Amino acid sequence: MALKKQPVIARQTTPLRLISIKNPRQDSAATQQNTPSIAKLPARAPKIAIVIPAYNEAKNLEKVLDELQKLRKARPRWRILPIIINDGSTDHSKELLERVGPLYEAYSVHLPLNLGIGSAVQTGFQCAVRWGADVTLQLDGDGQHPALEIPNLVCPILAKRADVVVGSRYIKGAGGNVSSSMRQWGTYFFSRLLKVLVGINVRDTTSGFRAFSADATDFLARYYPDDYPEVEAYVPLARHDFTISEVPVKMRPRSHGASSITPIRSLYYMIKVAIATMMDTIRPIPIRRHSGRLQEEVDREP
Amino acid sequence: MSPDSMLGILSWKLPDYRFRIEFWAVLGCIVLFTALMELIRRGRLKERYSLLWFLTAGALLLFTARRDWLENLAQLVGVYYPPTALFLLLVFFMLLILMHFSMEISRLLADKHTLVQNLGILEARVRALERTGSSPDLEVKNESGRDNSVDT
Repeated sequence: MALKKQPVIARQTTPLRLISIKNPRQDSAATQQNTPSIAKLPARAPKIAIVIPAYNEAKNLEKVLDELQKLRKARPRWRILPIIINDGSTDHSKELLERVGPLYEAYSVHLPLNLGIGSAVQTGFQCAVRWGADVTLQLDGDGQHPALEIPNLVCPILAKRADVVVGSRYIKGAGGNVSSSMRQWGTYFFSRLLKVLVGINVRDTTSGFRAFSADATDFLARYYPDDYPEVEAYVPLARHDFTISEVPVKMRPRSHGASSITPIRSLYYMIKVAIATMMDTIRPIPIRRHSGRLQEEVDREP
Repeated sequence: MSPDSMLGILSWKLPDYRFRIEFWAVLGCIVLFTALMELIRRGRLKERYSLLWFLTAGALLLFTARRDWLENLAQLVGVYYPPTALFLLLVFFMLLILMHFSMEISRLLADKHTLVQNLGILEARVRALERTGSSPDLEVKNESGRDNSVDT
């Protein structure tokens, strides 16, 4: 069932392998070392798009935007664009975003109907592609994902060491909000499933805190699973040989609202996701493009 | 009390007991055909969605009218009592119709998602245009290929 092919990555500077970055401090140091050839070219500020899907998160949104403002101060060289996808919220999210969005230089898209997290995030990716983002990050609107951990996810991509970086709760160095044992068990199950199906190593398979390179964003903007995007998205990404790596992050418990997962529901969820994930290995997927060009054109180059 | 006597006054109009299933099947088919034709005529049902329904009614009618075909079919699938094969046929067509519906619902859902996404993006761009007067705040990436060097 493993559909792993030989990698056809044209742009890479160092041999890309599945890597697990242990220490984010070392990581940014390595970033500097790995880009000597690029340093000669006139460098421009990297564009970082931060996609925030929000469904009835009016209470948390301003806090999230506030944190991103802090990140802007911490990384003044980066051009950060928060893209908030209001997924048909029934609370006052729309009015709030109309009012505070411009203050935070955030871009907000209001979907007239609730499409679910997958389609909402995909909308954000489409905006990020239009903007020409170098890195697109997915951040939950409920404030669980700490914005100050964002550089740890973004740097490996800017250094072109990975296409997808997952903020993981379960690898060494992580901590903070340790989720329920049921969820941990399910996450481990999906991790094994992905290893068997497409041969990738991801520990925190249900993490929604992820960063994507321009190529991966371009691909996901055209093809993103609707139903269970956290787990399912890895299958098409692995089939196109996007490099996936994990970094430890500390997540926080939700500040408002509650997760709707109960034991019976989570078992049902696991079965559904497992079936959907298996189907993804045999489903036709769009081609991978390289910086807006078709993969065939890239392959044809000498 | 036998079912025949229960039917009372109605039973004298009905055909011989052996052909009663055929009678009801033909009646059902005629009603189905009439209803389909009327729905299509009024534009309440699209022709493309009525095809499977017509096939169902047609197959049912055909196998009711041609008892020998039904008996052959029953023999083929190993059904002792031929009229039961009629139900089998009906169930088969019902499954086809249901599957068709599920496919259509999935397609409509995917279409809806694309439409809503595009609507949301367009609305955001219009809002940006209205605010700034000229250029939207998401500039379009230049087609000649981006400068891939970024400052980390």
